[in-house]
Amino acid sequence: MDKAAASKEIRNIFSAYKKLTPTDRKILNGLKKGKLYELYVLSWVVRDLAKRGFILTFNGTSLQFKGSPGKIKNSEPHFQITSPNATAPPLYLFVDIEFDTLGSTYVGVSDMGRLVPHGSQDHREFLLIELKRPSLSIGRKELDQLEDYVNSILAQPDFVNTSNNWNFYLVTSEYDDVVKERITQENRAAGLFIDKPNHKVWVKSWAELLREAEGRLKFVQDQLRIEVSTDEIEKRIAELKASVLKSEALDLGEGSAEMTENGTQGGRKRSSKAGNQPPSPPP
Amino acid sequence: MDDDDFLALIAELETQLLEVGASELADENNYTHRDENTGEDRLLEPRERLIAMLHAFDRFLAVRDGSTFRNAMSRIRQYTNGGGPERVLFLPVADESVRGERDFYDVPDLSDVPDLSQVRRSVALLIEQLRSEPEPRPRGGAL
Repeated sequence: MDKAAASKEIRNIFSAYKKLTPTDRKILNGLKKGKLYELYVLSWVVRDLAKRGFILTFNGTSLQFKGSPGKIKNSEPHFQITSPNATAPPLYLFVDIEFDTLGSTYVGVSDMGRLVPHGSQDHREFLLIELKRPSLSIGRKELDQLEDYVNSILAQPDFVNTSNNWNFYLVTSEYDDVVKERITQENRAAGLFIDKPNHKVWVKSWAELLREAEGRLKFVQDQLRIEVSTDEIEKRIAELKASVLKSEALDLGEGSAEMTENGTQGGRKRSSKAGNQPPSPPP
Repeated sequence: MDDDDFLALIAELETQLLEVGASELADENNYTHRDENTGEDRLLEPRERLIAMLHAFDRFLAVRDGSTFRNAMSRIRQYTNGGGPERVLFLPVADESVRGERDFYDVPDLSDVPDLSQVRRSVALLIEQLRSEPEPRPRGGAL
């Protein structure tokens, strides 16, 4: 085969493919979203389960792949799987594998999101993390999208006039110089893109996150690496022991040489404790 | 064919891939290997790169091919009691509260996906022919 023949063959292949490309935009969209690949994977999962002795039945008439997040509902088509172990409860296999994440309960759709516990029942702390695919280097466009996203979440009726604090994180492999300039401003923590009283928006690369985590880990390790000599340990045990015995003696009212000498009979410590008690009722 | 010929074919293939929306497959950064001596990532040699790109295009076709659909459905039906699903629908919007009525009744059926097996056979044949080519002559070619 020479170059001209190979070149002609490449053109022929693509010409044939273009003629067969579906014209239905919705089918094209489904293919772009990898739905046929999901079906292919599903078919192997079904086969493997059957080969392991599970019995599969399909509840419904059509498999339905979804193009956007949706809830798993028993009323929708799914596989029911009976275990070879007859006593085990049945299993269910749904194909709408896209589902709401924890944070989406509150804010719609995100890669990862969670409600952070807070002491006050009236206040809510939210942490939302948006993960970008590794091959994407984010720029002004993605930053603008993030800002729109944040604003739309904050404008949700559920969050207007309520006490909330938000931390949004956009995590990416790399970002361009425009983004770098906007997240490295004087008197601000590195990576902080928006800093408002009730919300902060951060842009971090995986490398930065890992580096920071390593730094925190090292700090904790350093704090735990306390070298104490045997003498020091024994001295501290003796002090602790003495203080425990002393307070026990005080509580029991047995008194000690020191207290007897001071004539306090229970001493200042006891009196301070007694001082917190209500006065005795009159006789 | 020499390396220059293969590079010209790669350029031709990149153009075609971009035209069908497969820009990721056209990106040469996806066709590298790690140099064991230097630890650096290097582009595959032109012939190997061309073959790798054609393989990637075959995978691209596979997830758009009606025969993949039929094989998957046949496998599911074979291992499901009672025959399995009759159809496979793609719902562009998941939640019926958001989905318009028209959308609900106008869901595409993945069985309408065209059969690309002939195109894929041509790709496989081209790969075979390129593989059987003698080792490429050095760039410039003349001895």
